[in-house]
Amino acid sequence: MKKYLHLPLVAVLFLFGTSCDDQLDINENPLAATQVDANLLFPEILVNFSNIRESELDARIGTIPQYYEPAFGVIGDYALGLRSNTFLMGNVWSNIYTNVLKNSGLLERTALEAEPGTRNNIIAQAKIINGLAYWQATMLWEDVPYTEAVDFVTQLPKFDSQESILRNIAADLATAVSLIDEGSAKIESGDLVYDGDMDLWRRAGNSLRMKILMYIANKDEGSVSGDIAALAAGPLLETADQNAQLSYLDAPGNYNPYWNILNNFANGVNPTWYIASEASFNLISSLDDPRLSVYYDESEDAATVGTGDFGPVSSPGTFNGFGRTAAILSSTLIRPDRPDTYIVASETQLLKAEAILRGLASGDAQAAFEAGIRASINEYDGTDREVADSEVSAYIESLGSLDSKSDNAALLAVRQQLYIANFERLPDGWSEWRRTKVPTLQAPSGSQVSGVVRRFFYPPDEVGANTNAPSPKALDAPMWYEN
Amino acid sequence: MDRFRLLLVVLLLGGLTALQAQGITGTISDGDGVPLIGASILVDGTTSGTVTDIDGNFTLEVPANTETMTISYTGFETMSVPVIVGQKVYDITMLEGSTSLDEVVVTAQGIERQKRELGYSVATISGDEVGTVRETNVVNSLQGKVSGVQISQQSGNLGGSTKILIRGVNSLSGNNNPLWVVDGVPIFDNNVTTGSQITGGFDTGNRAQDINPDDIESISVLKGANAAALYGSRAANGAIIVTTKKGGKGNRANITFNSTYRADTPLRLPDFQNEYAQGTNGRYDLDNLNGWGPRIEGQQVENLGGETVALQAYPDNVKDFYETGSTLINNLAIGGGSEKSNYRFSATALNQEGIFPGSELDRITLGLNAGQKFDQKISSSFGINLVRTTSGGRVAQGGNDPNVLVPIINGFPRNLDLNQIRNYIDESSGVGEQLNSLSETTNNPYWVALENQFNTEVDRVFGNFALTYEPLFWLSFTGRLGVDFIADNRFRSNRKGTLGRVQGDFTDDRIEQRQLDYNFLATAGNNLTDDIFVKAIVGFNYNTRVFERLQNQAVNLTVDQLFSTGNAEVNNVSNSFSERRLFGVYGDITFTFRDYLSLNLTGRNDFSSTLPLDNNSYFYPSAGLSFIFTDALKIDDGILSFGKIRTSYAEVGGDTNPYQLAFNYFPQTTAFGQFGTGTSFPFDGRLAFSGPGTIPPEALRPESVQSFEIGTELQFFNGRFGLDFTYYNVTTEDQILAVPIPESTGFSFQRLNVGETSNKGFEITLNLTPIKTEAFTYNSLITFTRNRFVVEALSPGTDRLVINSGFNSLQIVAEPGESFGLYANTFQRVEADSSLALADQRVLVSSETGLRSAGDNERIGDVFPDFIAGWTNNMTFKGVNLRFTFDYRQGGLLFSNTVADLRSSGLAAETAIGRDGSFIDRGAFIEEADGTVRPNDIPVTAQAFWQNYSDGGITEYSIFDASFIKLREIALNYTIPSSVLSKVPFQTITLGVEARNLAILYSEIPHIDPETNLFGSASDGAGIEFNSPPTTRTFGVNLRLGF
Repeated sequence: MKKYLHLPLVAVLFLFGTSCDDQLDINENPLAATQVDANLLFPEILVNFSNIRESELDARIGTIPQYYEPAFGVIGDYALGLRSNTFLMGNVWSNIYTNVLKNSGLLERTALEAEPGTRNNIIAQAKIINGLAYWQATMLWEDVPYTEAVDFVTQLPKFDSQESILRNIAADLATAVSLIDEGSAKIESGDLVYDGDMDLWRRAGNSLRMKILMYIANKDEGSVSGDIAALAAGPLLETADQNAQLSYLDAPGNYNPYWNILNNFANGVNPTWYIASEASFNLISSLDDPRLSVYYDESEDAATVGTGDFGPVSSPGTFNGFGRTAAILSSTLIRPDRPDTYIVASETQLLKAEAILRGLASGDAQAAFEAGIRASINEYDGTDREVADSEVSAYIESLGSLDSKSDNAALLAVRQQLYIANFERLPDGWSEWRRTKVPTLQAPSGSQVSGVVRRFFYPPDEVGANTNAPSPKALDAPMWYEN
Repeated sequence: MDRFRLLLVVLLLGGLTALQAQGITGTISDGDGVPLIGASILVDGTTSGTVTDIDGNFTLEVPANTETMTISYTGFETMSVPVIVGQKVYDITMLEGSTSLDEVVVTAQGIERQKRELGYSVATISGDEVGTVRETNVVNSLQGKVSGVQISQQSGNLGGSTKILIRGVNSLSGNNNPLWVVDGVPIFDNNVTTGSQITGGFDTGNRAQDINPDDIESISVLKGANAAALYGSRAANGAIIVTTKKGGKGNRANITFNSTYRADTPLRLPDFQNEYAQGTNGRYDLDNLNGWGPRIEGQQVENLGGETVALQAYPDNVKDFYETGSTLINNLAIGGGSEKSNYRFSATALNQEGIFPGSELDRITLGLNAGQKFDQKISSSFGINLVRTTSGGRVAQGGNDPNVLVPIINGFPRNLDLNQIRNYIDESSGVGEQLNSLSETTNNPYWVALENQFNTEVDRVFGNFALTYEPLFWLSFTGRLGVDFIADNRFRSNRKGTLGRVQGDFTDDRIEQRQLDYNFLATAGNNLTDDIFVKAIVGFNYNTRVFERLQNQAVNLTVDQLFSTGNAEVNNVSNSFSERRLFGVYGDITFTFRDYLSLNLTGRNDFSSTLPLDNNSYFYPSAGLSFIFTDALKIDDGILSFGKIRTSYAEVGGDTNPYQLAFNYFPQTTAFGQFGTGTSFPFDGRLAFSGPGTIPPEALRPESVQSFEIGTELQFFNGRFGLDFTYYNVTTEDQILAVPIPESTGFSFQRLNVGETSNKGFEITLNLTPIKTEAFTYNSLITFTRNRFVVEALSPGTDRLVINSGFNSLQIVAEPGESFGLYANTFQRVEADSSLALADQRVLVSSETGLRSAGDNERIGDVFPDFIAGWTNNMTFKGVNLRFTFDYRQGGLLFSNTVADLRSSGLAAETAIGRDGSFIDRGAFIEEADGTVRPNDIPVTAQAFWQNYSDGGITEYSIFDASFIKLREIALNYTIPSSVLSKVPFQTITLGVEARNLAILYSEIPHIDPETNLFGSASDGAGIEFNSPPTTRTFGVNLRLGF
């Protein structure tokens, strides 16, 4: 009988051949790492940042600076100031802070923990992307958390003024560029932008800094003119092949999300969903700009195919597909391997031209003007809409030299080129328009606000969770940096 | 053996001595030979007596001159037994009394206890009550029948989940589900969703639905920490103890056949306007599905098929899309046994077709249990259940995903002729091409329902094996092993041509869950003195649970309908794994004095793998007292026939989930992009890792729940009127919670020990039998539960904590001194009214637009209901039994996205008003520049008003009082008298008609069934409806045969 008695006891003992603590020491996630190399964090930062910019901004808010009119609500009527659309910007906020800024913060912190001086390039790379992400945030919402954001300590980060954010980013970028050296470790294999080319990172850092200083100069030239003058002397981004960008691939899984919307809904073509908006089409058309046939596809109307007729365009706030004959954004502009451009030569050189014209920097404004136009058109080199150099030169010539124009006309010419160069680079195009107000845009019909939309409401989640969130401003209330 | 016994006596019982029998011995049993535990024996004319032990045995010294002894046991007729000189053994059979008060309930660790000695409230539901109208999900059949328990069906999906909440929310973490225990071993009741519930996910149901109602003998609901101290942390929210049917005694096979057929139709569909066609601003627009088009007046327009037709309304197009669902349940069971063995086998087939075209669910359940008593004082039993469930066409909820079907259906333009879209596919080319999509971005709903099915295949085995050794009549040892294994394979596809996923994709989702639970317990029970009976248990528990998941999302298919990974251009594979272990040691001792006073003490210490190694142990005790004053004071005046007072106090510790402590970096397989445009890693050959979304905790402490309850059970007029009242106060401290934090911190959540919350409330069960004659009995059961949840304190320095957020700006917020509040963005109010309640403040419109404009984020009200009640009526006239149940929920809030969409899209009936003239928002006011306020008189279009009023970002007016009264269940059964059956081979025949979820008798919410929830049973994100499939109304017939 005894042996039966022992049965359950034996079972107990059998289960505990090892000690209790050993049995319980299993709380480490076998599918996660406790530390990772910078090369593994950087792709996460870049791809997430670009995906959200392409799918939420380029694909949806082009209606605000009137690069296109969208077919329907799915693409978004942001320009109409409807609240129900704007609260969807929550994804962008979330992505910028909890993905881009968190991981770039971790990248920088980890690098700072290493022996001083050994990770300077990594810190520089992180800081430049960090600056770009904060610039993006302040361009969407004006005042956003900066000094206390993502500091791994503060629970309710305060919101900083746009002015202080822009000045801080500029200072941080100066630090980043100064850290770039020959010897220290850098992100190379994980650097989807430059493959670790620190000379290009220096140019990109300087270019972004100059752009931000130009925004500040819009309100307060005096405080930044010296820095702008120094930056204009270079090194800056000069040609399109130096552009800081994330290159999507014409490969499944790596498609540009903007194009992938069309792929998911319409087999990859634009079925008059993104159609030409009057303001931008007319400007480009009036200048006889070769980018007209880069940015737009010819009408499908059988009667006019091959005649250079792009089809009808829509006025702001009114969408009309004209029975599928409307002028539409081109299949080159929205293509599977369309890059997300972070900091580009075209905008940099045009800003430099403006700085010289305004006396903020010295140099050859005309050369920068030409370099800017050339860099913009060259962005499409290698696509089926590549424009021959001779045609570019002819176009530049047709615009006349800046010297021959009045100051105002010269500035207008540069700013028109900024608007055209930033076509469908929404994060920049909308921001530049708010700085320059060129070209003049009318408020769209049916809008719930009276002006052109300048900002988005803060995402309700942040407002609810963070008592520091300022009360909402009207969607057409200008931002600090605007004139 | 002696040495071992001595050890145990010293170790376990602490001085309990075994009395040497001198005098008489005996056994007391009921009419079926089942031993009665704790029956009292009193030697007449003396004060000496005893009670029977767990086997119904007793030993008693009797003085030489004794003539009779009185045997009493609650619920049985008290009897007087003559003591015969020389007779040493008495085997006594007691007869059941008119009232059955001796309910034996199954409590923790499968220990059967007499309800009378419990210091806490337990509700028991008989197998008949859940087996008569058999629910696909057994949880639903508890609705309205148990006080203190809130049951809410989450959606109308086949096999969808039902949430059960006992005595309110204890944990803020969302894990408030009670522990399910079948035949002494815990089983999984979790609800793992595929896809995000917010962006389009599938509610695959809580897995307690695998318990077969036909196999249930009884269900005990242990309501609090008090009742469940012995199960450890997981039972902190109560436990639901299921005892399965066993084979009866007698060698004759008992065969039953139970067959049910039911038909399902949507319980409630929205009220649509049928006057205006699709379009916007009064213009007809085939590309715009909104109902803001022109008045339908027979004008000529182009329809979906490209034909020019006269515009007309199709009022029933939504209703006609739904089909009549059907359910067929057949069960065959055979059971039997002998004095020493029992055996029961049961087979059930459930075949269900849903109201959505192509939706179906099939379940086969095989249950087998058997037990044997052997000669060597050993007995053994086992039970095993095999359940296979397959389903297809479950409907997605939430937003964004092209497969979320309900908004497509509810969004039908009123001029849509369903016949235009029934032809949804052209397969003539060999590749299916979608026809008649509703718009360029809206799929044909038939395509979604029939081509993009979500299929599940769940194989589950759960069972137990127990071995008991009883070396002495007062001592036994039991080892019990429970296993639960779930293999859950899910598959969803988007056929090539699906708008939003034109290239086609499919997802395989394979989930495996394993649980092993081992208990070893030693039980001893004996008389300490003549008056005091002691029962003691010490036990040891080991529990381990493993969750594994492998998912592959295959994107861009080359060959149509070929769901091979090799047919996809990209495969995004992801895996997850977690394992947890827990050791527990526990003890339980009960002292019973003269059968009317019982004291129960328990203690348990757990060691959990999920807590920091240096702080992974936590101890928690409980104490309970029960006093049957009617017995003690010998009250029997014909009015009060039974009276008991009970009270108890318990603490329960709690751990957290695995892998929450370290700051981890996670490898990424995809990066998000709106509209399904996300990319995958490696990206251009590069891998990616990301930091965590949640800040891990520092120095995490175990949670602690303290639960106090006091109550009484009273029976009047021989049980014709019964009252069970309980007051409870449950406090939870140091909750482990992932708290949403502002995303500007870089993280979405932070895991912390958080503050203190309490649930105070009372529950009442009234049992009335107003009529009881030989022919007719009317019994009525009323349950009432009032629970008040309060956040007592948050962590120091915090006066507001967002508990749940992320949905259309809605937030559930904890503030000290308050219940959970639902916060939403509201419209602007008159400044001077700010001291008034939100509902009393005048709403402002802009003096420019005449539309309401954005105001602040405000507390709309409490999330939880004020009270819930149920009323079950049972009438029996000869062989006819009629039962009907009502449910009543008062208070709480529900946000309905469906209502918001119906209104902003101009499809709801109320949006037809004021379209022809100028619409003026009469409920609102205008503030003049000088601060004076006047009624609004600015005309706007109805479209502008409703699109603003039901705005996605301002949800104030899409939140409703969630109160409802429902007629939950009606069942009418007729049992053919046995006299009629003498010539047929059946022993019993019962015919029944049944109906469930018949009617919403009262609701404040337009258009939808108020009983719904997006988040399914796994979350407390109560109060959010987002494109949920409609719930169904069910009619059925039932036949039961006994051979």
